[in-house]
Amino acid sequence: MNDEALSGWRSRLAEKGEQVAFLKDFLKNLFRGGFEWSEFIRQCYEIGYKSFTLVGTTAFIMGLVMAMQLRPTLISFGAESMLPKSLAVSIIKEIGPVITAIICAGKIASGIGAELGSMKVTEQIDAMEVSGANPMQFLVVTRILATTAMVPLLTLLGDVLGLLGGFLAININGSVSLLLYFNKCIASLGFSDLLPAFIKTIFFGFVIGFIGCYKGYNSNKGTESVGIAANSAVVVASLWIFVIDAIVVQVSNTLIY
Amino acid sequence: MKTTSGQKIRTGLFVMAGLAVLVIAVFFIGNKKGLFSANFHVQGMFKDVNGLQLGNNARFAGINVGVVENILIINDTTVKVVLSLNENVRKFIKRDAKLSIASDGLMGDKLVAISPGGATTSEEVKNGDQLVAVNPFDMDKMIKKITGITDDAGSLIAGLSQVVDKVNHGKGSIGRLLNDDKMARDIEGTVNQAKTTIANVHATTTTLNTDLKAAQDNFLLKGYFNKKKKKAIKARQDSIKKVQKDSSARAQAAQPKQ
Amino acid sequence: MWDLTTKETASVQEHENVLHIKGLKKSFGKKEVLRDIDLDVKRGENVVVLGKSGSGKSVIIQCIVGMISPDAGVLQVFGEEVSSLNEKELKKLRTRIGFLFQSGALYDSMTVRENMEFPLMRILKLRNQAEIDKRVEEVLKSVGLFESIDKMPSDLSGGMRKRAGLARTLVLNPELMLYDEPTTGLDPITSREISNLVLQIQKKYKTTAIIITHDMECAAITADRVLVLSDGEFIAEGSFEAIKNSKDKHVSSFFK
Repeated sequence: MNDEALSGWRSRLAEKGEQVAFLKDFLKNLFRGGFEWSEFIRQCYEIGYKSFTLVGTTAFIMGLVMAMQLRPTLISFGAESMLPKSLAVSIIKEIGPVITAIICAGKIASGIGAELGSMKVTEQIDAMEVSGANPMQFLVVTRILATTAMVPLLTLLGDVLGLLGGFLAININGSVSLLLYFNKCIASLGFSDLLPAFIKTIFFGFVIGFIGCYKGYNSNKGTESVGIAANSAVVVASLWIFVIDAIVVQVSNTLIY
Repeated sequence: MKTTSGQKIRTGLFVMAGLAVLVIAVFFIGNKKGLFSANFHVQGMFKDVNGLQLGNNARFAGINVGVVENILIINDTTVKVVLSLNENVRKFIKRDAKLSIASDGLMGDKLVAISPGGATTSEEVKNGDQLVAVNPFDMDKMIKKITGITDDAGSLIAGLSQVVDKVNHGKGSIGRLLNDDKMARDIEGTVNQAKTTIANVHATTTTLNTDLKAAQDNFLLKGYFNKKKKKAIKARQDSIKKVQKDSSARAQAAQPKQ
Repeated sequence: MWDLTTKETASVQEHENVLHIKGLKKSFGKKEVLRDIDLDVKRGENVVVLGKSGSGKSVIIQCIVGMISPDAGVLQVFGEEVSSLNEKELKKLRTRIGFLFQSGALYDSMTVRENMEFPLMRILKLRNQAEIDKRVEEVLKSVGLFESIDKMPSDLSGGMRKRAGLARTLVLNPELMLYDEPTTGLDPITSREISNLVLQIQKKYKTTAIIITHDMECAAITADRVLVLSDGEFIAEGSFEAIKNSKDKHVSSFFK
């Protein structure tokens, strides 16, 4: 029993070490010449554009539902006019980045984990390596950079759609012009709200790509390990998202106030 | 799979849209904070800024024209507030404008309100000018003042009620005038007496007239009587006049008292 | 690029032995997979390594390309000690070796043409599209897969995938070809086709080949020399006929 627990810890520590080595490998290949632009753009298409419908729909509905949920509470102490402000602050600072990142972890991290896992199982990664090509550079660097670049953009567009969802919900009950709503949202935000939120989405994107690639690239050779890679990529990436969220809030609060 | 040009275009559009959102957000928020327009600075020394924060709005005539750029404690009773204001509104703010700290609604953010000025000078404000700061409206002080006013009003009302009470109970001359019948009765009696006196005088005068006629008829005494008559008549007429005068004076004196 | 290739060819001619292995050892955990392997392969030779599944025959060729580092022994390819090479030198060595994986290992997100272009663009760094097209078409014609050039790997049959995988390794003009179970998972007719293809390739491209297999028919068709691997050691060596007629119990068990 004791030995098993110890080996559990050992394997976890060993995995952390492998992740650090993987990160080192990624950074080494990142600054090596011959960046795979074409594959990067294809990954941007797959990761960014193709996730937009999902992220956009979810964000829109989140905004709508939040506005509907907040309205009665705010009305009960006569602060209905605070609705755009509370929506803007909560969506931009927390709901938008985290919901988008969690959805991306579910869609993108699992996709990358499964794709690279199956490439590992069918010896494609080995084939690339043995042929003298650089699978790290072609498969991993492009994917991690694509998620790092696309998740922030998805979040920004998701924020906009979430606010539009809130606008729709407000207009179901009353009538507010888009201009007033927009002005109120903007007026309630400062750079101290926007910047930490934007910066953390970059980290979210990196973690999603990194964990997805690590789990896929290091999966075992066996059909079931593809599923394990995809699954653990989602679990670990989601966990990291919340950890990063907590750290960023703490750091940005310390820096700003 | 190679990326087709359609995919590239869609990826490009997606990236452009995301970046556009970022740029627009940065622009509008920056614009609100006055980052991208020409600015000038003014400052004011406050005793207390009531929780004013960096980035709070500065308002002129109810319009947001700038932000609080810096708040510095100069010494234990002075806080320097530096405002960054939009260059466009400089021509409306005169050098005698006053700064004060207000709040946006009951629960809202604090803000610096700029009163227009222009009473003593028409010179517009310059970059770096120090404006007069009206210290914030202190809730405690206001409550003290209102308490004082209420106390004053209380003692005033107490005094008034005493006066009214006295008047009601017929104390003092106004009270007596309003509440006592005796005086009226006195005045009435005086007037009656005057009337009786005048009646008596009339009767006496009639008797005297009869006597005098008889005396005038007695020739022996005619001459004497004629002289005497003239004197007596004269004297009586004087006394009558005097009595008449007296009584009418008394009547006149009693008249307004009724 | 072409200058480099001719220079390399010259260097191969200097060393008669393309491959020199002596006393190679490798164990995974407590299990000794390779005990004491000696193997010399001459230029232009087709060597077949016969062995049962799990006998560690794949490990030999994985050691040759540097995917697995041996525990002990000498392993020289083109006269260079593989374990002493740095990353860059290893990469350069790998471009001279073709490795055909059991599954073909086609990149399934790319069409057959893109699979062929991938090593050309990344390893030979070719940029001229006309030249790339010419080499791709030539190699696909030689494996008989030209009509499937724009198909996705998922649309290909098992035999076609092997051919495509073979074409992708051949497109770099390797001097040494390593085949890992080239006929596994194929029906006998396709197996024979692939075996014949291996032989044709050897003649056409003048490659040296090491073929790992347990398929006797494949060995019979392709082998110049056969080695039998059992318990991490070569127990027999010789021509296919000689091996077939061997009196050794272990060796003859392969032919039952």
